[in-house]
Amino acid sequence: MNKFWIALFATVPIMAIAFFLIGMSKGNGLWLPVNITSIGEEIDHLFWVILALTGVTFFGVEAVFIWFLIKYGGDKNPGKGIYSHGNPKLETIWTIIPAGILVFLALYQYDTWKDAKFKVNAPSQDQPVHARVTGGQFEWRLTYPGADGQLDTADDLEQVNVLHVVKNEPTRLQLRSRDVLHSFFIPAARLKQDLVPGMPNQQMWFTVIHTDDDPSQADVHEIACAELCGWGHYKMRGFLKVHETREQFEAWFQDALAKQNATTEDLGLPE
Amino acid sequence: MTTASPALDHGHASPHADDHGHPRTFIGKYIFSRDHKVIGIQFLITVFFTLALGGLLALGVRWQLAYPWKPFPILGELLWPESGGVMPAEFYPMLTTMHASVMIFLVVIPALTGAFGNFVIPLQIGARDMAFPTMNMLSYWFMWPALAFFGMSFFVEGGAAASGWTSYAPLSTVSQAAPGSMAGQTYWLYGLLCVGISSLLGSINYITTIVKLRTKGMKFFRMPMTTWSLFITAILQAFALPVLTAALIFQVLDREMGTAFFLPTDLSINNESAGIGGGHPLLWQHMFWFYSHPAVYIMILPAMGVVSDILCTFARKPLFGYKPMVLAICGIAGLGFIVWGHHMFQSGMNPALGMTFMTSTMLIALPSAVKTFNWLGTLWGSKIQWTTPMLNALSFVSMFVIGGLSGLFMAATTVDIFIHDTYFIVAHIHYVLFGGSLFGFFGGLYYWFPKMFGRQMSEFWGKVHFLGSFIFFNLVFFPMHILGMGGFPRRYADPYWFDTWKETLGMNRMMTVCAIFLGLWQIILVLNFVLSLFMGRKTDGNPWRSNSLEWMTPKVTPGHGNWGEKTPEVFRGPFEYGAPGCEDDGYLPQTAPPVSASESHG
Amino acid sequence: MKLFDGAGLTATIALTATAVVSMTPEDVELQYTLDPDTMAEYDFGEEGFALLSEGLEQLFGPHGSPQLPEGTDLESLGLSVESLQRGRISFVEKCLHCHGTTGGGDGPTAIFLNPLPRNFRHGTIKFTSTVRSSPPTRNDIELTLRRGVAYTAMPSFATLTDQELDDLVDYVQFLMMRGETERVTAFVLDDEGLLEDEELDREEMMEEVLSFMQDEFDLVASKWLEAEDNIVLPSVERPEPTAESIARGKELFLSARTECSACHGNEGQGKGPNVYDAEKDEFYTKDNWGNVVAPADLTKGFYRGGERPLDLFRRIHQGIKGTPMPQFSGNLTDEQIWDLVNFLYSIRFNNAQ
Repeated sequence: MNKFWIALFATVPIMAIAFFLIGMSKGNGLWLPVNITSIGEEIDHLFWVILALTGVTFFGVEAVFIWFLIKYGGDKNPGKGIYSHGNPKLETIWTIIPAGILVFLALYQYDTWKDAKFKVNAPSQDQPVHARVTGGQFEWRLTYPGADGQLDTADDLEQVNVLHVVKNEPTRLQLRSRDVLHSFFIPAARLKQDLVPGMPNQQMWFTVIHTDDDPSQADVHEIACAELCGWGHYKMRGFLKVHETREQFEAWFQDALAKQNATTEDLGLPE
Repeated sequence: MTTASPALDHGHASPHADDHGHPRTFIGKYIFSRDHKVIGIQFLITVFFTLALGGLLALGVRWQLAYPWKPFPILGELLWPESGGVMPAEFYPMLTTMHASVMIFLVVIPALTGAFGNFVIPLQIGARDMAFPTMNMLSYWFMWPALAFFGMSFFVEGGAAASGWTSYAPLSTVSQAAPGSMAGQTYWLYGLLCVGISSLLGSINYITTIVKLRTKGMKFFRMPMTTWSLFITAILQAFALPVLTAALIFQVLDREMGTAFFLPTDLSINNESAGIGGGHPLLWQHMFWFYSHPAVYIMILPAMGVVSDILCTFARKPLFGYKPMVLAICGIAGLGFIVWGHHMFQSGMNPALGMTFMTSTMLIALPSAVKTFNWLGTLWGSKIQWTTPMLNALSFVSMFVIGGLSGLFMAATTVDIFIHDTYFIVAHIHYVLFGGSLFGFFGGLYYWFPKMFGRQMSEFWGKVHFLGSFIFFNLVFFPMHILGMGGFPRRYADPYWFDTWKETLGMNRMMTVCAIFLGLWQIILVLNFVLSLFMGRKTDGNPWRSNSLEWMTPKVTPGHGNWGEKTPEVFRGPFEYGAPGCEDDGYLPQTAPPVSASESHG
Repeated sequence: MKLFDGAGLTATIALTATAVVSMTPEDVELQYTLDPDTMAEYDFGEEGFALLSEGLEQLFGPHGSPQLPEGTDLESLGLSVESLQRGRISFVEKCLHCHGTTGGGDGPTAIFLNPLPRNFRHGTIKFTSTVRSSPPTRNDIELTLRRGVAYTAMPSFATLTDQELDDLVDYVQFLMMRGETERVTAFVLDDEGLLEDEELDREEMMEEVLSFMQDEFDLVASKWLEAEDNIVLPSVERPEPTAESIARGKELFLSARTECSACHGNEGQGKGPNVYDAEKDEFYTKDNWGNVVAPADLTKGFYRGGERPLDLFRRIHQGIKGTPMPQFSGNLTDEQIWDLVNFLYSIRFNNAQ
């Protein structure tokens, strides 16, 4: 029976590997989604660093654990173990080494964190924001400032749920909430920021650097809400459309603006 | 300070303590009892009910994730006839909210600090009872209004609270923001206030008892790890709870009296003005997490203590690094107060603060690592006995490793940007709280059952229960890690609307099936518990041949006052298995007089 | 003890196996229900109501398989049985919990919403391109689905595929036609006193009900077929939003001729004296669905019915269906309406958040 329990505990690392393999092979939804931004690359890199470190630790600990179970758990006769109260040297070693690793981990990601979140590092601060994202129950309202670079003026473009950006251009967004907390989450950009009522000038920025090969079509990725915002939390699905070039974006923008300012049906349904 | 002061020994110093002045009526003895052992058992049995309730709520969540918008089995037709038994969207967040609230506040905390804390502390330190028995009784009875508030909230207009167990403002404070924020949220707040009072009464009691009522020779560093961990837990609770209580009262005021602690100016929700404003939503998060992060340690530290005790007993070996283990607990408790901000990395809090909190959070991983290494050290050179408590304790160690390591991903602010509020955090918390605390609870239950009732639980069924729980637990919660890596968000009633997560349905179904089995499997535990009360093998006072003081009571199940005429004297630490002068299986109880003059460590 | 354990283990395994087998969930089985608001007005008796719902089921099918009465020209209406079926399934998942099984705006979530979800049973929706008496076009429904209704619980469904949207439009159209047929048939049956006729047996009565219902449906369907011909388009170009145009619009807005400000207030904030009791902080006005309705606040930066000048033009030209917002096409010229539109745009962001 002892062997049975040892085998049971030994299945834990095997199960871990199995699920990771399933995830990797299935991809979609069970593994990191595609990444399209530069900051996403850094975040993924950090993810892999931590996964490697924790992976090694995990298998190391499990190996020792199971080795001890095998070595000291085979005997059915009651007896006594080694009379030892521990080893101060060992304690010092296994305090200092993990401490070093942990401090290294903390320091190692300061720069990425600063790039991702410190407002002073936001790109193109002298220019108007690309768009304003207003979270509400249960939709994303997107307002592009238009030609005058000012929000809340007559030449704004108002859109729902679909955010258009340009590849290789730093995109700076202004985020705000009109009711409760929301969180603007773009899995493919690895970014997430809570929208807090009363904090109308939250910002998020990223540069899309990867798109599909097909340049004729805009790349589409999903946007989700990641902070519980009420009964329709799961309904806050949006799209991020990436245009290959500035010209494509402008063409779309002018078309959408024309549709928004339509006085006839000739242009078809507005987006 | 090594002996109990007579003044605090509440009248039990007389030789007739065991038969003198304690209640003889049924109500006095079993209902409004002031005996720590009865209160502990009351907590224990209550926890069985709340565990069942919390588990059913969890199964509701899992049902929706596996079979979205399919009729809810059994209850569906009854609850929602107009939609053919399909759960409406607003019910889903109620399920997640109440599952978490029940599990955290009415299961894990009362099970570990309530049941074990009450039952074990006085026995382990050689006290006759808690320092304040009446407060102790009240701490149990304040659980009931909490349970009543939580239960009633499902039947009020709008239903139970639905803003997550974290109750972030303004979703929770503005009644028109969500159905659950109508009356249900107020009930939730009152319920939590009752839980807070209960915890506070308990923790003051524990601190006083441990500081003042240790028996002769029971130095601080001769206390078993369970008592140590409960001691530190009680201190944590005593310092963190006032902040939560204040926050809860602020929220009650915001909701009922029109104050605006958490309400920004000019807010309009559901096309209605939310009120005058001038407050800030993040204030709630800071206050909430100032308590609720330490609360995470309140939920895991006692389990760590229980597991340390069990490991030593069945490894027949002293605890590896007793003092480092104690220091690690203190370190976790100390650092636990300066890491709350890691729940708020993406909240809009100043990102510079995020860096500070990341560093402190990374550091708190250290004592946890030290503890794990010391448990491994305890296994080294041991003589393992494969009993049910030991199996549960071993599984605690192996699950806690996963839960601890996955925490690093969240602690890293940058990676947290992506996995914040995804299933990764759900996996993490369940590995710590289910794989950790609950397996610790199971272990402690099998371990102390003989001392509680004088009989043993069936080992065979204990092992069957463990086997199923372990397998199904892992199958339910391990896949959540990879779901989280895919960005799968929490609290989504229908994630399959998104192309990104459409294909996780199969995996989620598998998890739900396993979750249902996991729930059914606990019936074995309950049956084993109930049947063993009457049919279990009778034991002598110390079936596990454990060294620590709680097994040394004169009666098999200690009577009122625990220790007969005189509280015992303690001569050594609790884990002196295999010390010189021990018996063949390492047995050398704390109360055995020293064999040689040189035996003075400990 | 061993025997006991063995038996227990067998029982455990058997129980879990049963649990696996019994866990395949059934499909949702729902029932269309009669409109409670309408039926409260008539006294058909249990038998009469049963006839009515049976008749509806014969013509429109049970919830599991929606259809239109035999002989209906589905293609001209833009419908197909397959897309109705697909749309029904989407509707159950995405719309039912607010709009209800029969589209009565009475799903379980509905009571928590402000404004309430649309009740389709009247055959009317608010924001359309057609004249006041006409049902909406399919495009109108699609547009509402695509952009949602700003600042309400109706989200944008622009992220669905075109096919999914089209199916949903079909099903919404189906619910609207079915609901209107039901209401009108009830009215006619009451008018004719048919259900009180004691000479007819049940079968004959059923036939009568069916024939009335078919007639009413044909009327409803003909209106839907004509909807495309009843689209409102401005006869003149929108003038540039010059100061003069805005000033003219403002004058109209404040004038006794339009009485815009009597409801929307002099500042356009929607609390005019005709509709709003400042002391009680309550609105008097109700819409056709029986709910209190407040005039739009025109200074918040958004319009529920759409951002386009064309949308605003239509809102003024034909009013808003089912609400006290009247039709101005007879009162104002198209030029004047455009002046009003220009004025509205000029105050649009006055109180934007």
